[in-house]
Amino acid sequence: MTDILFSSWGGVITDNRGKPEAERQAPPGLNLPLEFDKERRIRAFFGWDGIAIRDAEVNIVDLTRAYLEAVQNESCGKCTPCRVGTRIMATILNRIAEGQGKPEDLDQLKYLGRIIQKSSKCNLGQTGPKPALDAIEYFEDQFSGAIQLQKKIPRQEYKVKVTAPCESACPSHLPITRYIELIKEGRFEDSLAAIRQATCLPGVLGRVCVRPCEDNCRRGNVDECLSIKWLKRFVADYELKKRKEPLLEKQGVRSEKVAVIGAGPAGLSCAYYLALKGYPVTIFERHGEPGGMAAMGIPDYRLPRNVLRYEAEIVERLGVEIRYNTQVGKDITLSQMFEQGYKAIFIGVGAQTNTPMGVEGEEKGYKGFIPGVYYLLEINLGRDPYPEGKKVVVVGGGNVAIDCVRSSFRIGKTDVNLVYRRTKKEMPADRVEIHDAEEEGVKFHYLCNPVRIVEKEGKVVGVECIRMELGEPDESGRRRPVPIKGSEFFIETDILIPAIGQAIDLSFLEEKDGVKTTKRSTIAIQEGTFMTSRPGIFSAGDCVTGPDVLVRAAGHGKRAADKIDLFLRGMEVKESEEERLEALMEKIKVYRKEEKVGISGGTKREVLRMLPPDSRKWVFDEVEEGLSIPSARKEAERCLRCVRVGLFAM
Amino acid sequence: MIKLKIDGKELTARPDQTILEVARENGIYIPTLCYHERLSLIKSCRLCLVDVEGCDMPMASCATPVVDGMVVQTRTERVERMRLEALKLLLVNHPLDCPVCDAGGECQLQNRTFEFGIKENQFPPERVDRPSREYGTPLIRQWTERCVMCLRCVHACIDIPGADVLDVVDHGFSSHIEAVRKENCISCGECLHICPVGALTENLSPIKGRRWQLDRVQTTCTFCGCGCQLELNSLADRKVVKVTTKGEAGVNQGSLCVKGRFGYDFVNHPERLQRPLVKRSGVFVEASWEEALALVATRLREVKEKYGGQGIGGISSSRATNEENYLFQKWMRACIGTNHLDNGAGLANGSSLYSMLASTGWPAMTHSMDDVAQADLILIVGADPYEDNLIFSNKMRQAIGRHDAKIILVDPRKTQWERWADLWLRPLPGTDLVWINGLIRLLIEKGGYSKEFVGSKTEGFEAMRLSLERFSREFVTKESGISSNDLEKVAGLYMAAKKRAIVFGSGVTQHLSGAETVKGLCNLALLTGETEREGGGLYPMLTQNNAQGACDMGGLPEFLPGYERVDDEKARRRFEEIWEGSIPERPGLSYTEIFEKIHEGKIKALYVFGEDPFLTLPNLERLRNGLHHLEFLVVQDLFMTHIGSYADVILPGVSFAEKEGTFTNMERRVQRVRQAISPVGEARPDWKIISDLSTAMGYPMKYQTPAEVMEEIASLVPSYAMMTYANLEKGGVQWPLENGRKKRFLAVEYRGAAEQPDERYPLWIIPRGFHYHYGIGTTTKRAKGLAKVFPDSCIEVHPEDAKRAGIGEGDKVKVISPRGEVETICRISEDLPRGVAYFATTFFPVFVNNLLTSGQDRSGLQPEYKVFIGRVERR
Repeated sequence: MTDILFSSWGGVITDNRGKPEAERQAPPGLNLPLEFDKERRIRAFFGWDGIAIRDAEVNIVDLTRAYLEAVQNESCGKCTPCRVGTRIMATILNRIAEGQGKPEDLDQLKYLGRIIQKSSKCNLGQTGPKPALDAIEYFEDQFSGAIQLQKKIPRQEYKVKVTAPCESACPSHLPITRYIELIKEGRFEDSLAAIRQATCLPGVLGRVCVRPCEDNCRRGNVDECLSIKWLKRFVADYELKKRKEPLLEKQGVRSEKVAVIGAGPAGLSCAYYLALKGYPVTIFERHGEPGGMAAMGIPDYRLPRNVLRYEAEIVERLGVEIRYNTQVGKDITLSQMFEQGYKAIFIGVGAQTNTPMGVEGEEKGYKGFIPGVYYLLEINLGRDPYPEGKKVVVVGGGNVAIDCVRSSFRIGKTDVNLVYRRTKKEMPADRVEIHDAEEEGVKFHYLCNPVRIVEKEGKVVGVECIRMELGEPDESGRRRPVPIKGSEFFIETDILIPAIGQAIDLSFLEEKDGVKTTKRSTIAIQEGTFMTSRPGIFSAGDCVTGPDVLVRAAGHGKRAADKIDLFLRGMEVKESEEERLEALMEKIKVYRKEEKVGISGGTKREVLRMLPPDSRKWVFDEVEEGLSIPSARKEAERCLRCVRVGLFAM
Repeated sequence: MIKLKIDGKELTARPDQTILEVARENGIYIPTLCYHERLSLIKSCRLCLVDVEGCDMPMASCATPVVDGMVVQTRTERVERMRLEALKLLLVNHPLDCPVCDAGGECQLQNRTFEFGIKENQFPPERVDRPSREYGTPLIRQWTERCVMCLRCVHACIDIPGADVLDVVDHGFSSHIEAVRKENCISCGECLHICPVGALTENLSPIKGRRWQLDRVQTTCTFCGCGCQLELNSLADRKVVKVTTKGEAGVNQGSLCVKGRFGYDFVNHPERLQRPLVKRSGVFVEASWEEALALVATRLREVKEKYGGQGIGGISSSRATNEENYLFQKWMRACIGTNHLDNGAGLANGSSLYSMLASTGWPAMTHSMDDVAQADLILIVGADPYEDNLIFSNKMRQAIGRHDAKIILVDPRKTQWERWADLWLRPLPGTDLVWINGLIRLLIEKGGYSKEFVGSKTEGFEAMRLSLERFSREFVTKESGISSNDLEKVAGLYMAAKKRAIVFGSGVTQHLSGAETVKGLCNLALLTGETEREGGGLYPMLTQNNAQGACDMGGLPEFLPGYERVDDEKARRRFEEIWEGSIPERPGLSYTEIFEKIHEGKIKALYVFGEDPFLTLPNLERLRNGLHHLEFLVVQDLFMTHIGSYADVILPGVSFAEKEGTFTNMERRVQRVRQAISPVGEARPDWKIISDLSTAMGYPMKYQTPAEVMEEIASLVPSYAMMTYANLEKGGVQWPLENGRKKRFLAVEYRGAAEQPDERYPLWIIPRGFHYHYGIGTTTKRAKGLAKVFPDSCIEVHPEDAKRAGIGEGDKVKVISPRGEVETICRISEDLPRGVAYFATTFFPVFVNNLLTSGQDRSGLQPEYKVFIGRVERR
């Protein structure tokens, strides 16, 4: 059962025209949402991979015309077939739609379309004619009819979205193709300026992002995906190294004060874009450092402090005040903020506490029992949380766990262990991180779990674990670990670090603030607006989503700034059309892993030089050296620029 | 090595090569339009598409790396159709104004259309109205409708000089090239040169000849020490109408700066001297050559008889050819009997040549210009290659592109290179030696030097080390304003690098302490063996086109050709034997000393060739007064000069376009100068004038051509042994750097500045040249094109200093020093430190020399050009 009448998506033709509903085949690989928004239904979709028609009434000729015009409007002008060819196609289609088509037009369109597909420089030209060719092939009667009738076809309005696999996959929707193109051209400062239109944390994301973009990179279908993250870091580093003034332009001056709680990725992003819009912003930060969990939870060898400080300083240069060592709930409350004249509040407190393991002795406060986030926090504040302890056991398989073990060497711990209840394959931590930790000599204990903390005189002396085996998959799709009875064993340790998950501390909220929370103890927001149950209070980041990736917190912080702007201007706070289109693209999926790109490859991605494990493991110096200018340009040259156009008929 | 097959041919290639490169190397033709060897990949034209086995898509051969086992077809039906259609698509909106297009006959679009045999186009014409906008420079005209959007210009502007003026504006068919950052344009014409069609044309010469109507002669540029190769395009043997370049020729590989490309029209300037002039009753009257030459010969003979050869002095020209400089000094020494001769290079770069000779044994750049592109660190001291030696600057940029070279810029003023610098230091004017010594001391302390090289290949290290006693970090900070932290950073970058290039220019040399500062830089270079083949190199920037050659040729008071000392009896005897004349055994007087002695009445006759001391030496009043003591003054030049107006006889020489000869560039490369047009009026080649005078004075010089002169030089000067014209025909030849002796560390002495700002004269004023002009400006100021883009001198003042002085942007102001005052225009600039003003000037027609202190360095060579105290007032 499907409501799709025709689809050529992915090169597979599904033609349900004239068939009774029961016999209709669902087009494989097509995931076209029913609604554009609550009011409007999606009647047809034209895109890089073909066409999909839901409503027999849509005018294919006009759709094709609109699509080619959209392609021509997006064409960067940097290769002849796309620049001139799609223009001629658009001209011919316009002529047909105006009732002035000529008999030879269809052949001309087909011929030109194929030439453009095969000879264009980037994916825009390579995919641009595809819907037109499909439409002409399968709806030829509509075209020849229009040419014969010589009647003007009424023009419809459509929604156009320009995207790329990497950009669509990025939670912050960074303009990846654009900033890589600028690196190719040697315009590093312009590249960074392009990134800053979407995030104020290029140096941070360029180091610690989990890079969904790279998993969605078409170059990966050919040989190896691009080092998108490192290219981002490269331009961020270039500004610092070459002592450049960031190109920042405020768009106006506003008088409404905004308070931001937390100088983490979400808070900084929100403050940055509000300041760009001209708002006076104050950030209230509990610690003496900017960065939130990026500063307190990510060790310096992965994210050097000066990078975070620099990016926070840029936020300050826009006029944002950061009040450090100010704890909201204790030093100031939300209601006091409103009293002090703040017209809107953004909550971006993150997920700063740990979730309990449910192990005997956990709540007794033994010396040497230190939750992961506190362990990292102490280290990042320059302290050894427990100098007497030399042996360490960390429990967990995520990035925090890895950060804990790798940091342990760096504060002089000699025996470092990681206990994880599944196998390496199921570990959620970054592959690269796991590899680096192995290189540095961390002892990994897979398929076991702590059951009891062993103490002596209030101090941890060891942990009793039990062996596990993998059973049936759970709801996350990973096989559930099951304890093996009687397999208990003992690991001697001075320090036991649970790092199995983070939780959100919302104790600063008061009843009268009127901010509703969820069962998972996150802040509840209205879908698409980032506004809490209390008008004027917005929230984003881990405190809304639960523990999640940095790039999403940053992206949501920026989007929340747009909503706060709408709120302060007295306009309706709602999801923007661009956000809507992004969401649709994510559903349709811009990247197809099975796609055969059909080009000559064989190039390797540029890799970073790393300090050798034996010397790096004892210090907090940044492990990876950034890309050099020639290798960055070489890497950028590998980009296929998979710019694509999608067009919706409603 | 990689094995691949192209069109059935089994080939091998390096893994870093592209299909196009391999095809070209093996004589397989693939058409291109946007591709250019010197540019980053563009891939816009799609003419170079080829089919690769196993690939559904045709591949752009210019951008596709070769892979082992690859099978490539360059001529399948499919790719030939793609290429043809891509070209036809270009033609849908290309105007067919070929008959009136400057590029007609040498247009790549024409060539490809012919090659592809296109007679008609099935695609309908498309038009779009693009507003015509001002281009980056008035010297180039942009024809947007002729543009094929190959983007070569955009890439060239970023990749080569790094100006980044152009970009693609708008989208789709409306997209076009626009000068979006006009303020960055330096009018170098890289875009013009690289445009494959007539979308950019020269907008300067009113006479436009078609390719086949013009004569093209390859010659060497006359505007700086880079020695670029260019083609003078001339019409009917009379007029230079255009300058073009060939991609493969010379150090410049097709690039030029604004001076080289657009500064040519001084050659045919109406003010050129056309006949000899003789002063009668205080007025110049035209004379015949016979008359003028006889008069000069007679009077000089009389002075010689009366006062001896020592009563005569000569100034030679660092802009004239090697042959002319050689003849000039031979004439002065062997015929007239004086060593009192010098050339302008002594003033501009003398300190570097002398100090480098003492330290490295070579009075020249230790490497080739291209070598700088291999450096991974470049230390730029008191030089602005972007403005003064653009082609060298371009090569420095390659070091960034290829090796991510770290750049340390030391300059009080923010120059273009600040944009690319990792570290920028702004020492107080005249204190470079302090931080250099401090750095050397710090490097020695940190062990940041090559003990092996220092131990085995050098001498004098200990004495030098001891002379650095007082240059502690604290002293450096106090004296030069460079903080300890910054000095540490320099040391850190310096030690992290492997090939360190040191580039320095007139900001170092034209100081009182110039010679000492250069010694300091030599010491720094020797610490890590940068002077050696595998080192980074020591690069003095020469601003005059033949500064190197004029010195090589013995246009110096103590050196015979090839830097043999006149007081070295063996050397002198050798020259005397071949010259058949005797040479005075004591070294003569330098440029500045000659004028001192004129003032003292010791020098009674002066011959000035291609120089204007009234614009270059300090203290004009004193110079003028001195001239009263002269009994005879001859000036040989292109134009009436300031000293010329005091001359008894003026002999009109010719420009580089009108004679044969050679120049030696700053990397010791001897290159041919070739005649493009006949001499203007009755002007004569300078080598001929000197030969005739010598002959008339009884010392016959019977050379028929400059080639004969070079043969004599080659036989006498070992380093020039290879420089016969036959050898030079294929391209320039560098003289070799071999002497086998140990390098010397030299103890240096630091003296503070000659004067310090005070209440009356609160500013340091630093004269500087600029991109658009050359030397003292007698030629470039007469070039219309250059006047268009940079009309006048100005004083640049920091906003705060301007506020204090009550002056603003564009105000007419007086610049006053304790010596005098001159008038100019004020520009406000935040690129300067407070308390320092820059006088952008060519010395002509503004007599900035009149403001200079008259101090000289101890060797008597170098006036203090680069700093004096003063104030700026509203006029």
